[in-house]
Amino acid sequence: MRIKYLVPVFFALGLIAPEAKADHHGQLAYVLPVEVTVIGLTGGIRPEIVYTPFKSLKWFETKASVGLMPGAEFLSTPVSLGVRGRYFDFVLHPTAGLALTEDLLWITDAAPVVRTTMEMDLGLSYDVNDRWAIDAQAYTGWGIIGEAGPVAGMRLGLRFRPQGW
Amino acid sequence: MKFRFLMPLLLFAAPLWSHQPKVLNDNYTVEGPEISHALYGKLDADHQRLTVRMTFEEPFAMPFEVLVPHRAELEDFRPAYAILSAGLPEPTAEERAVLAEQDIEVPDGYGVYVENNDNPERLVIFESFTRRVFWSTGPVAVALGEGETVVHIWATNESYGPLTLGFGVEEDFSDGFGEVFEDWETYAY
Repeated sequence: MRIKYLVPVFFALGLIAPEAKADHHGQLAYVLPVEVTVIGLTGGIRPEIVYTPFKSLKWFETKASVGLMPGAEFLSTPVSLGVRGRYFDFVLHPTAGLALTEDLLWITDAAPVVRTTMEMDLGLSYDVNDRWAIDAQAYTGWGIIGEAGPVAGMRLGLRFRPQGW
Repeated sequence: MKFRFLMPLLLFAAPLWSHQPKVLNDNYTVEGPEISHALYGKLDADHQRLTVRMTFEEPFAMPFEVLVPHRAELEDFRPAYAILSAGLPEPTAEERAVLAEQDIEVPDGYGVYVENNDNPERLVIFESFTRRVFWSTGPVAVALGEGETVVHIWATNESYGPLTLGFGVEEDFSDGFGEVFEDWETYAY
């Protein structure tokens, strides 16, 4: 029967599935921060998904975020991809991150401004309990493609990790 | 290609431009007018006109523009300005009338450039170093004569607000950023 050819497939899946499940435990976290930019005043939310790709490197996180931040002169919708270190196994974790951000600025009567910035953030993350933490960060960066110039801001938010730490 | 490894440096070749920022009071004298400047001032009921003076030792081609923050509440704020210099053409009758309305006298031997800022279409610019958006009168280069040049900026239609006068051609931050961090609110917001 041809189904016999599926045996090695299922066998392979069987080999990796338990491991995958174990890896998945505690890998995803969601951060909902409020953010204020101090260069070009805007304020809003910038939800972030955090993924810890390596079980052996619990401190190493990858992150993706999208912001919705209105300001007096434009609407900013930054889209960001990056990495962050969340260090130590204490309740208070210093953090340091690096991100590449597409800083999209929407203007009512002109074409949007699109520029790519490299951002660096430093902060603290405090574990309230097994699933919740409070994150605070300050960041600064520079436009490297499109329009040169600085960016800087602060964010404060809640971090939720469904599977616990 | 031998220097292919240097190509990532092109990422940093984005056009860099900026202005030496200063706070503009009612009667301001510019030192080093050839240096790129951004003068941040405000027109209100008590300060209906701002005057900027600069002196040139020889004729100079100078770009000017007036910027207004791109904000809904400033949509009707359209400050006009006039440049008086020995190198400029004689004022037209219409320009004379506009200047007379503002009690601006044109000295003998001087010409003028007048920008009424009444074009329905306005240029929108993004100033990348302050990450701000402005409406601009549009940059114009005018041929200034030697001696004193005077720029008058005034409110029109009883609309008031903050504005920035941009001019100059050379980038120079040798004296640092001066008052920028002392008066951050003026420049940044």
